[in-house]
Amino acid sequence: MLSEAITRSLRQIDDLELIEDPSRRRVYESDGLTAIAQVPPLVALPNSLQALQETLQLCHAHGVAMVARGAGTGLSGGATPLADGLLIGLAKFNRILDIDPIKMTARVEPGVTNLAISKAVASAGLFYAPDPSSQIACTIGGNVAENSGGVHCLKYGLTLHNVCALKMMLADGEVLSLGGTGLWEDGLDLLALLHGSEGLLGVVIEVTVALRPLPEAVTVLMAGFGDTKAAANAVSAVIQAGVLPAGLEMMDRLAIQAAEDFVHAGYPCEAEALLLCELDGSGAEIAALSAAVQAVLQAAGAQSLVEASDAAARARLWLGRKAAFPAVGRIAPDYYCMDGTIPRRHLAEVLAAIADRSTHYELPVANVFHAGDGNLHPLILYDANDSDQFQRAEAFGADVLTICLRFGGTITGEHGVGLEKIDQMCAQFTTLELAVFHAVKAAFDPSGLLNPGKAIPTLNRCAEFGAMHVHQGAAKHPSLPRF
Amino acid sequence: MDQSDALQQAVRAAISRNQTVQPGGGCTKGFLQPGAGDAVLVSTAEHSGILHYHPDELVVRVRSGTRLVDLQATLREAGQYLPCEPPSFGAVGTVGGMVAAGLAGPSRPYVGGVRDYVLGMKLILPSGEIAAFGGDVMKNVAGYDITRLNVGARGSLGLMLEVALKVLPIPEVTQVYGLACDAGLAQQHMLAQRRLAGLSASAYCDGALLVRYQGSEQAQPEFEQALGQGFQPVSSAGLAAVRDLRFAHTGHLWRWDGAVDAPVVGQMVAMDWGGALRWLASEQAPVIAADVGVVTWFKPGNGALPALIPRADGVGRLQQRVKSALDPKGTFVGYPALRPTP
Repeated sequence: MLSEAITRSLRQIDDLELIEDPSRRRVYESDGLTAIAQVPPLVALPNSLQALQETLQLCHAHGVAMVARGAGTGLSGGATPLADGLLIGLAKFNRILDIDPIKMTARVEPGVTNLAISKAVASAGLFYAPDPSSQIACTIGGNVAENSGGVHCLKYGLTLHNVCALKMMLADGEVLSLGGTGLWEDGLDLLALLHGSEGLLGVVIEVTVALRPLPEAVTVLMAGFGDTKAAANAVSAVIQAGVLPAGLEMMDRLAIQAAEDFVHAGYPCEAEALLLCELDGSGAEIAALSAAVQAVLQAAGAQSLVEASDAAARARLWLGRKAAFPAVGRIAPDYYCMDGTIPRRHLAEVLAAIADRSTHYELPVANVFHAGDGNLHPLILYDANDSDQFQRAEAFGADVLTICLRFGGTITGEHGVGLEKIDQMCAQFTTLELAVFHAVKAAFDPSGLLNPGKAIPTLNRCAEFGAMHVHQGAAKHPSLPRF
Repeated sequence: MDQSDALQQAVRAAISRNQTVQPGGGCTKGFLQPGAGDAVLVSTAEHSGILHYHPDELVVRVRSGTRLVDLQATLREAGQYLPCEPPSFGAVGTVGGMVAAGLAGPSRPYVGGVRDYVLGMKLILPSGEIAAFGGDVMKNVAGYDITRLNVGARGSLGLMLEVALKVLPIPEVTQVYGLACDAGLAQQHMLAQRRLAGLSASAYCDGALLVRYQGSEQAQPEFEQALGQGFQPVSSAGLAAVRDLRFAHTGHLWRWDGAVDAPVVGQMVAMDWGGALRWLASEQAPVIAADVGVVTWFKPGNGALPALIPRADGVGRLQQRVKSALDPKGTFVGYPALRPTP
């Protein structure tokens, strides 16, 4: 518990700013998942690694739970404060420590924003590939915690694939360097394990990212289709043709219209589905590559096809996609963004099932889709001031996750479990598998002080959840008592 | 054929007899586990077969005992391949062995290693029960990444039954170029060429620098021009020989992993990954500055084993805690990272 005595001790730590004023603490009450809010009893903003370490040591010694937070842009409640724990903001660690143009790496503090890295290395002809849509604000420490993706994952991978090494502190303040100085480290791959661990295993204090040479040429193709199935088949055809696009995005009719009304990107509003296909490479090859992909899209039944090869035209086409969420926000008071991944061959069936739920709950849904890698973002439109609509939206969201699981997918592709999807974890994993997660947690954080209650449900919680849901005709946790 | 039940029974039998299990497939990489002498080998060699393959989704799921050469042939028919280019120490090597060893080929710095292409896994846990992690999709952040924790874990955390892998289209053109030079000049070229578009391998062995282009026909002339004078097209056999450790050496083989611009040292017999991986041969542990790279024992030579101790730093201790937490009774062999005694 966070007692007055501990607060007094925290006040003694040099380079540690404490936010005690209630109105200032309220700023931290939620992350991007605003539906769940909890004003933290105390916020600590360390300004040096020593201050961070002393803070962790003090909390560890007194059994105070901690939540580390970057920019708070996460969408699943991973950085939601605890009612009786310390919120530690890492935003002050915002320095780029080193850029090595020969090794093509950058060493940065955890509070550096994703986009700031690419901006800082652009003059060296390099970029940092993962680009979550919040990249202007989200921090690299948070990207590691969530294993963030973006629109360029298909070709360039997730955060995991683009981090060479990192430094972290365990809950007791011990500093560890993971990843070594080369490309392989002996022993178990803890660097991989840290990615997507949602702040439960350690606090990231430094990240060494891999950079890539900026591509010489980039072009974007936009194709409109008469139905989503044709668009999905076109995606398959592009990949079957041996092409690996830098980005391959799909939007459905409602998303197209909302985006077009908002930013006037020049989208074909008569289309039922839209594909955006970004190709990059050397100047010598891009024309042939573009011609080949255009032929594939035509053969797959594209009703309209536009190429944007100069930077301004490309930016305009991407603007619509990147503004899809706020655009949908304009046509409904609130929207609930889902994040399932499915094997792409089931896209048509999954969209049909989602449409069926939309009718059932009487709530519209717009779909945007990282089509290349099967990551679906249905946006459920509702009005949060209407409590009935809010409850229907939540039930609809849970149904979407169940649909993804039914077709062999996962409940979260890139947004994380956090608090939002913790009950659905019980549907995706067995008791046995959850016990493995708990064992990992115990090896890193035996006292369970880092971000407790997030990401991995307790077995008791699943017993309660499982009592309400039976999956594929079988209870997932038969060994647990039901109550 | 599905041997899950038999494999599970074998693991359970070992548990009941308090024996340690060493999972194995083709057993071509047994040298990686020198301390596994007393363990019972539970072999996945008969547990083979491709469970599903969707070329247009770039995903394949196989049983762990599937031979690597068989998987590679199937992928090749569909114009695809395993970008991590695992080494081959014999035709009987399996996919499970590739994943358990986690050894990546020359393309590692450019397209990633084994763990970068593993999406999901089903395995027999140390309790003897079967669990699944990850899946058949490319983006999946539900739960800790137990799948990738098992990549390169050398069978220390479980016996793999199934693995789902991401695959990629085979590049239009693959061409290796060679240049006769000494190791110092090779390193200079390696550093200067790091940003070449289409570069997918850069290795040095037996007095020759070998660089590989993979990409489109249209961009190949640009690559050749950027390489400069003296590079000649050569077969890919030399690169494969470095990958598979088929170079002459005496003494134990040690691997050094470190910074590409670290100085080249005397015992080096081959260099890969653009200089980030170096193979050193000597009876005694090579002594190299620790701040630029780490030396680990890799493969025995003729002489007696050198003095080795498990990695004992903070990370090494945490690795052991993770092993103990996941395998409290020691059902599976350990994977102590063996380092020379200081």
